[in-house]
Amino acid sequence: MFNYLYFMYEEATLINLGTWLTMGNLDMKYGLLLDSLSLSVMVPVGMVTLCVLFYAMEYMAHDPNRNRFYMMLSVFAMFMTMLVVSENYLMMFMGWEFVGVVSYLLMSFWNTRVTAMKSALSAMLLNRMGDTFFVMCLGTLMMNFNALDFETMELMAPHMNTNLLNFMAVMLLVAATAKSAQLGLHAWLLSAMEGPTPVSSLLHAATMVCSGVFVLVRSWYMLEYTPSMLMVMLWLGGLTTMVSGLMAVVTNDMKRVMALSTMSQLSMMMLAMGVSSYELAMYHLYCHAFFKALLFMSAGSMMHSVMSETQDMRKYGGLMDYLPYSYTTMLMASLSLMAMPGLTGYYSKDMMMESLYGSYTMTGYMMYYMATTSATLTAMYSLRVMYLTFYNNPNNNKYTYGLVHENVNMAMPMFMLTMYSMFMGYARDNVTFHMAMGMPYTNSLMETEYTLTSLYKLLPLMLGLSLSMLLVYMYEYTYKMMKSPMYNYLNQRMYFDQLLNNLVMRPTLVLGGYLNHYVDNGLLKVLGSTGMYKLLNYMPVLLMFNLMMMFM
Amino acid sequence: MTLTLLSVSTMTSMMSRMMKNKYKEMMLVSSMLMMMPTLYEWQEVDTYFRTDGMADMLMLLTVYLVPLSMMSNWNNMKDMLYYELMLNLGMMLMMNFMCQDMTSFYMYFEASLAPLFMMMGLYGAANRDKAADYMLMYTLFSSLFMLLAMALYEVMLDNTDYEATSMMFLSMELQSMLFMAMFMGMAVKTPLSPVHTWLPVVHSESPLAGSMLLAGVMLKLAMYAMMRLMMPTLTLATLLYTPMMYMLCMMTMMYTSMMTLRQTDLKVMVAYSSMSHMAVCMLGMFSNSMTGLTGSLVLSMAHGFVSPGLFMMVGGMLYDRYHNRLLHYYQGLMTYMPYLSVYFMMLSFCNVGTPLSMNFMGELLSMTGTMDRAPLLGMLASFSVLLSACYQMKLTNRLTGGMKTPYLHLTSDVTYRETFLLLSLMMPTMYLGFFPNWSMDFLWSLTNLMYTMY
Repeated sequence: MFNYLYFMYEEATLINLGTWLTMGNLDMKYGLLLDSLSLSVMVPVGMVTLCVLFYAMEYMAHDPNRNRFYMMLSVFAMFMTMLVVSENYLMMFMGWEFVGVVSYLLMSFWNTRVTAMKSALSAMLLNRMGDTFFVMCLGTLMMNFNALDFETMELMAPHMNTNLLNFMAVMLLVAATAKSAQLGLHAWLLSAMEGPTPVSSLLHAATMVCSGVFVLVRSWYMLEYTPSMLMVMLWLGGLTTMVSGLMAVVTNDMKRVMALSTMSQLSMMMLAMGVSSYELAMYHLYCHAFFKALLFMSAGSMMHSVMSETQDMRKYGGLMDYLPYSYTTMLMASLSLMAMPGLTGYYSKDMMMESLYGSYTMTGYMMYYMATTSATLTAMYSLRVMYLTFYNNPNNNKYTYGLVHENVNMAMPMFMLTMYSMFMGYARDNVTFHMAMGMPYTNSLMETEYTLTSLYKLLPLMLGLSLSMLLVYMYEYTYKMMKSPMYNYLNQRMYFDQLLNNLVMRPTLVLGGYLNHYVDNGLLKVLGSTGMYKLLNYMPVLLMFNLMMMFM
Repeated sequence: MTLTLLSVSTMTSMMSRMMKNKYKEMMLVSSMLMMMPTLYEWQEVDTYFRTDGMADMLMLLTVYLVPLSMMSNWNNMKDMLYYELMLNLGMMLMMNFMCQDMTSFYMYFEASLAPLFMMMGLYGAANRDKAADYMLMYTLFSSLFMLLAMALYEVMLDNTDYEATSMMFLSMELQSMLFMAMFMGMAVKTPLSPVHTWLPVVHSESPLAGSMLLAGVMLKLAMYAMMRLMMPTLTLATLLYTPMMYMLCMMTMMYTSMMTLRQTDLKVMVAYSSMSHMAVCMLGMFSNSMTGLTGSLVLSMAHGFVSPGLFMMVGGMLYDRYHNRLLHYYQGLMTYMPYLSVYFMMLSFCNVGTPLSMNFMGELLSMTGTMDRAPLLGMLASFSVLLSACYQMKLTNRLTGGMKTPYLHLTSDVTYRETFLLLSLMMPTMYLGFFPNWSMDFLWSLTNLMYTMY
């Protein structure tokens, strides 16, 4: 029974449900692969979905279209499960694509809001970018392996051409970059915070965004034979985790800070995969889902009780006395996220950072420092959120504060997740041990454990604690307006949306317009219909001139 | 067969003239009866008209779409001639898929233009004369080259039968010549990039049933002709010209997708989108692999369901209610037409090739085939996944989201008739997306089209 609540090892099972398509020697099945990898992901998927559904019942209780909302959330759970337990890439892609579709639908749930529609469209299109590469990968697999199931891949991959494997790894990496919001294709996740909070909590923190990481871990047999791609992954992860941390420190939108934090945690997972510690990446996914969902739910609980439902942290403050329960849950989630020893996050996150150093490679060292920086930043922005919302002076009007209240129905699922965020980490080896058995054997775990000086183990914690204390001190005593261009740069999310719009979207639209104007309705008309019409019309005139010239 | 179908059509016309109040129903029933030839294995009775799986698939599509397109115009067309033209157009297309020699193919190919021309000229929108002329001129002119090729067959081989010509091994020069000539006709019909200008005009002006059949079936005629007239007989030329074809298809795909982003006319957008999808079909068709060929045919079929659905949506349901096709007027349909919006979203997601729809399977397999043949171009072709989402989701997003504008009055949501029509297009798409093996059973003879060297 406890198997539903947390992961316990069982024999892997492969269940064949039927055939999707048989063509030539290609056999694509609907099948379930229940191994320790998929089942350990199923735990957060199932539990967080359950909690979020309970939470949403209260959160969305007054929405006229709430049935549609619950239905879509449930459909999401279905396709997420499909993604996780699939036994081949095709079925996985079905899940993959549909979680994108459902994410579009859920983000555009409040469809009268133009910003919501826009952000949904942006999410859809950036995800489609990743899907394009996933489709390419599917095509390459079908072409070169004549199979799509993981078992065959695992057997075949070591014997394939390295270029081919590199190629497929690139494509999967781009796909994961889009889905897991890594640098370059991350813009959608930040605007996704327009959606209702349960959606952000379930899709954009706990489950859907993790699917990119999951797919990469599923494809470890490809990645393991493409060391150069692992290094690319390391750098991608390192840059993303640092940049997102920097952006989060100066962002004012509460949910956006959390989204950036999700991004940074996902890139931590990328980093762990980069040093071949796939089981650690999965373990962080497993743990991260709970405390990140809880963080969003606490934020939602706050926003729900504040009348204007604003997401701007500068409008909050002093809520500790008004929302003690949400404060507790959020504190627990934040501390877990900061990797405070004793809480879940510590056992998953710290291990990953250590193994970066423990890989004893040049990139590993560099990444260790990047990850440490990011962990420090995590501590800082988490505490900043806490400070601005709970400790700071109240910044809203009195009437609003009079209405602030806890909600029992929302508190219950939050309690469950709080328990997870606190105690989940104690059973780490139960999860990682068997997963690691089926994955490449790296010594990094052992080496990290026995060779690393304790300084490197404790550095993130020390830095995080001391700097976040400093942050509180600065907020309390030496607060002043900051007007540096750097602040603007990071606060505006590195102007990445603008870059994307001005360098990619707009030129494409302009090109389309030119094509429409000058080619389709210009050149092709002149050479085609209009030209022919004129030619035929003026032909007699020309002939007449010709004749006249002849006789003159 | 021609006579049989023609006599059915004549009988229907005469009878509906006798019973004036029941003419629509009679036409409808008779259009449904057209499926009879597909029910029989003509090969067994040694009839000259015969089919195989590939043709059967497209024939089924035709007989499925003709009644539906009649029903789609059920309320806004009150002219018997219109339905007669529809019926006859369906029949021409039907015979086009059934005939077994190039001469008859050409005959029916041209003959099917006549009802469409009349339909467009009589019942089209404001610019109907222009559109009708465009269609006729472009297609007729280009298929003249096809006729020349067929004449050449007749002169050289004294035969234009599909099977007989495919037995012959023609010289490379002759094959190239024939290929180019045939290709002229096909490129306009598909339509590929430089010669596609007729399609958006025609689609925007034609009455609903016309665009449905045009997008749903007539564009597939080009696919079918590639498969029947060119690939078995002109094998070497097909292989030789594949790079050219691939470039053209890629151009078409990219070019139309980008242009669609800037269109404002809803029907034109759907028309351009069908062009880019047909280009993907064509890529699969020329891949010379099982995957590509299957994908191409499946995508043809899927597009034959989804594209008419979209046309029905924008050209029928929205147009009947608001009498305009401009994107800018529409906004926030979700708030007061939820069912319509849901159907529209479903169709849109099918059109962009979301898994568990038939389009996905077709697209995936076409692209795999393309990648097999030309890896780099195949990669580029995969960007149609992104591009199609760009224009289609932009359209859907625009239509469904936002507040109701003051320029739109409130109207009723989809009626039962419209629900029936949409569901009957959605259901095969979804069903075959879930269990595509059924459509595989049709296509067992596809491998004959592949050119393999041992």
